[in-house]
Amino acid sequence: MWKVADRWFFGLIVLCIILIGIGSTEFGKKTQIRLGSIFSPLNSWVSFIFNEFKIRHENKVLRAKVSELALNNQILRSSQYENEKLFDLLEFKARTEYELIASRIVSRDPNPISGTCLIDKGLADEVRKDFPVITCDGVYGKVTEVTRENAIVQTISDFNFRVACMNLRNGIQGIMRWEGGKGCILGQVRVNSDIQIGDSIVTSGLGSIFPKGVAVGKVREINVDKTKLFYEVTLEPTCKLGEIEYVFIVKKKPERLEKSTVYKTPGWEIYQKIEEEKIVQSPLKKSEKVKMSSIPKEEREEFPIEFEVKEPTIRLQPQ
Amino acid sequence: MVKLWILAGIFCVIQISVLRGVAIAQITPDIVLVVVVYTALFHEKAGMWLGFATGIFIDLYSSSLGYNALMGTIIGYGVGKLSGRVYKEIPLLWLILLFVSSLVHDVVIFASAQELSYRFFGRYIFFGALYTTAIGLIIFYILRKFDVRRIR
Repeated sequence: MWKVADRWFFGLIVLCIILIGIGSTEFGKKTQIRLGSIFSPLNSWVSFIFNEFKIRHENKVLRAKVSELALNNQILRSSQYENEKLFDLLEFKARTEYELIASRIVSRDPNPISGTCLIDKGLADEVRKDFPVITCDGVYGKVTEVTRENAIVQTISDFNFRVACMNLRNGIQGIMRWEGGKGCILGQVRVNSDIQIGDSIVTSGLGSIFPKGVAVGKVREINVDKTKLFYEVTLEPTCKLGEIEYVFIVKKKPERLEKSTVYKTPGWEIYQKIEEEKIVQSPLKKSEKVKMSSIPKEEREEFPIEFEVKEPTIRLQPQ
Repeated sequence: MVKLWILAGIFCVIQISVLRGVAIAQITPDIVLVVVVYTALFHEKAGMWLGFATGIFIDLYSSSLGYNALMGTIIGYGVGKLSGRVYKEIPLLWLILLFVSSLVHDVVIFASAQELSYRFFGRYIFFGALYTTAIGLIIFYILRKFDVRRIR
């Protein structure tokens, strides 16, 4: 049986060698291509079926990847935006003369009438009530409540917010308030005052809360109010309220506290704000730190005590 | 037997069309050779004819005509001759036959196309033979199962 097969085997080998010989000629190569092209549709069809599965799988993977990249892109955009904002804040902090505490807005009051927000700095960061809050662009609000870790800021969009302002060009005074639909209004400006559209309005420093010269807005519209005695000047606030994420709390400097001295006891002059907020050390009770108000009045009157506050040191002298 | 020829035809089409998809580091298993070895081992002389026919088909799509047919015929004949002298149901025998066949086949085919180097031998021929052997063992088990069922 194998003898026949052996013959066929040698026959096939010879045939293969002939084929190798033909294959190296031009004619053989052309024939090879022509014969190959006969089965090409079959190959294409098989490839198409297999590729269909492959493409489906690839499509699924790519879709997942696109979603992931889109998410990453969003995160990067957000980071870029935050980076730009922080860069602006740093630049502003470097060029301002005020001592500033940078803070982030944690939440905003959803009530449209109450324009307040919560920030992430509080007593622990030496934030106190009535400290002005500003941004790189101008006035943002003031601190109304303080806890250890947070503070509530009454923004300029609060109906109860008021700030004394003046026209930067000629010093004409007025009071800024918020009037909902009308927006930011500068009131108490006498009729016939020299005020023009586009004038820059800044804080006047009156009222002892805001320092002088912080930008508030630009004059957009000028109308006469109902009494016909005052102008009702509509301002375009410099600070874009809805877009703000970071603010600065202006830490009041000691000189300012001295100016706002209001509290006096017989024979003594005490700075009310410091007494309320700073922990002082009594020489009578050296080992412990006590609040000024906790020192008995008799002790205050008997001795010329030197009270030491953390920063700065303030000497209390008998008058 | 007819089924094996059909299967060999399908494997030929797969080999020249989509098998690149399962390539590992550009190395693809030679599934046509697996069918040839299987046919030669269990159906003796038919392996030689199948080797020649599938070799001719693969040759139409390769760079040099005749070499695949030549190697298919030699391997089919050689394994067929051997099959009468050994006990065929040993997986180790399948493994050795697949590996040696693949190695010999690839050495001749690659040598016909270009000068062989150690790097080329190690990278393509040796790992190609390992890959073919691994896939071949699976195909052998499947085909054997069908064959045994058919005989019963």
